[in-house]
Amino acid sequence: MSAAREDSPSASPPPLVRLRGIAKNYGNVAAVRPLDLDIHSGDFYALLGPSGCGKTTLLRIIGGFTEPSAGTVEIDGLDVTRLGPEQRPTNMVFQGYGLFPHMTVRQNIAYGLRIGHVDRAEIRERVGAIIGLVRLEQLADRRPDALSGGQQQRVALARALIMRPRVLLLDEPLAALDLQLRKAMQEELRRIHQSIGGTFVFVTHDQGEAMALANRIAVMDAGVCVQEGGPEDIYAAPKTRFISTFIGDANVLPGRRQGGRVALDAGATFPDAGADEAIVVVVRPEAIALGRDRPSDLAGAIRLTGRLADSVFLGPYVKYRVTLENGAEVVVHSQDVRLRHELVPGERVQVSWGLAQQRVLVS
Amino acid sequence: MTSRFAQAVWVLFGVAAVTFMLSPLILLVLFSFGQNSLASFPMRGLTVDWYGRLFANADFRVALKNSAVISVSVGAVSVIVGNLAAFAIARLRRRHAGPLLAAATLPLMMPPLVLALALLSAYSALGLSLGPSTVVPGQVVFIQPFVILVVYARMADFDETLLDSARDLGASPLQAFFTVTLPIIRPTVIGAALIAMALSLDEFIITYYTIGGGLTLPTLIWGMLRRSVDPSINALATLILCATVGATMLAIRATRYRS
Repeated sequence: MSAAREDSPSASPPPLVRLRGIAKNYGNVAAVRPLDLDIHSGDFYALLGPSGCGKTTLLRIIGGFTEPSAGTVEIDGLDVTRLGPEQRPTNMVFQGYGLFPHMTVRQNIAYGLRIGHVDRAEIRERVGAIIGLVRLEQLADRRPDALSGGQQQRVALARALIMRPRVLLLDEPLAALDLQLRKAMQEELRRIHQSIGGTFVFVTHDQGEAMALANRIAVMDAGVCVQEGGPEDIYAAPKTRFISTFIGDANVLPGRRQGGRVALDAGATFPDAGADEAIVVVVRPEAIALGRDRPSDLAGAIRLTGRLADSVFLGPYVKYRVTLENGAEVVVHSQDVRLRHELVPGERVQVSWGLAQQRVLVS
Repeated sequence: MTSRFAQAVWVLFGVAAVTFMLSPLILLVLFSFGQNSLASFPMRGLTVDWYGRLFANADFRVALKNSAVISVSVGAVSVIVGNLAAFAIARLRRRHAGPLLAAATLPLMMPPLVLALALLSAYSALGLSLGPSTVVPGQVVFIQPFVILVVYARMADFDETLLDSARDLGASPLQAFFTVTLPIIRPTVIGAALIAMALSLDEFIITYYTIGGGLTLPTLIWGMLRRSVDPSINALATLILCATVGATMLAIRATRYRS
């Protein structure tokens, strides 16, 4: 999908967008702490984080709508830090879409080209092509107030894409849409990205959306980029407790590491190299096996007993909640629906997983 | 049932109160069409002679011209100045906008008489002779706050993202203003202009003191009242009423319209 990335580091081309030492302060509040970021050509890049983490500020800094308090922004080898949005090779799809209410869909899309004094025949041709790309042919002569949310979003997308930006910026593009529409639009965005092969950078607080769309994710928290990488890497190897619970569901079990062995508060022990300190063990609900409290049932290295609190059928899997002997709760996702009928709430059960399925992180 | 009776009484009371307040106007218009030379009942018949006599009056034609020129000038100046002020204030945060808005609308709280006298002494100190041109600044001071308030209210509601989008697509701030902001707020601006013109047309106190020997429609009424009390005054007043009410109704429709 990403044509620009090679596996060997020496062959990878320079990044399209380089942020160096970018920081933004509002009075005493540091919205973004000094950070470096690289975005490569062809990336579908996500800035992911909870509200107030600085992701939208960062996006606006890339687009030129917010001036950074420190640092430089380089796009395609050019230092654009002091340039306004109208001078940068970027275009943004805003959260409220910002469609001009007094113009039709066609006029909205053509606006940027009209301002740029592009010749009328070329405008007509390019507008026609992009309307085809986003599949808005039937609605081209309507006004924005006669369109649904999803349709408006496609107009905003077309209006930005027609400018052929080097980087397309999207501010929470799917936030205002309902679940079904959101899934459909995710498909649309992926299709359009693959079809034009551009570089997209989007902001979202929805980790599912980030993982569905992006080939690289930067997880942000309180103005800092806490982890950056592909979705599989971040999901399998989160660096901090915050990341492991923010991306995907996770069970977090506290314990202590002493002399090369970890003892969980909940009871089990296992070997683990590292300093003597308080740690947490993070394990994904789908990596845990659940069974009756019988010696031969489960085979993982870590085995804990407890009582089944409840089970909920969610469609693709069953969500079990188990209360361990020390009071801690463990959530298990299992596709074994039969088990649900066999187990009774309150029954003694065992949960188990292997050392490969867990991560030990500093508390 | 007492509650329904009470409700009927209240409705009746409302109708009576409104009738009481509107009756002078209704009678005014009525007698402009009456054949009596004295406005009294019973009315002898209907005629438009008084309107005819009004239009034949040379003073009327002068006053009409002056009123038209002054109200258009005042409308134009207040709209330009008021819009500029409203845009500037709307861009500030609420905290700063409040005091500035209060300062801009201070003239509304001044008694027009005081304002008129202040202007009069200023003009005589500057040695300017009085006429329609000295009326315009005085009216603008009093009328422009209305424009500022109307346009500010519209701009405070204005979606900033639209301007961000325009800039993102390559428009300079000035281009964004003419291609995005102005077309969208045009009904409000037109409405504000009409309000300004209606207020100017009706204005008496400041005009009376700063126009010197000149005439506008309101000061003409005042002059006619002192000389002869015939129903051509009613005719004049009815015309002014229609113009002001008409302009204001158009303005209200325009400023409420959401494009």
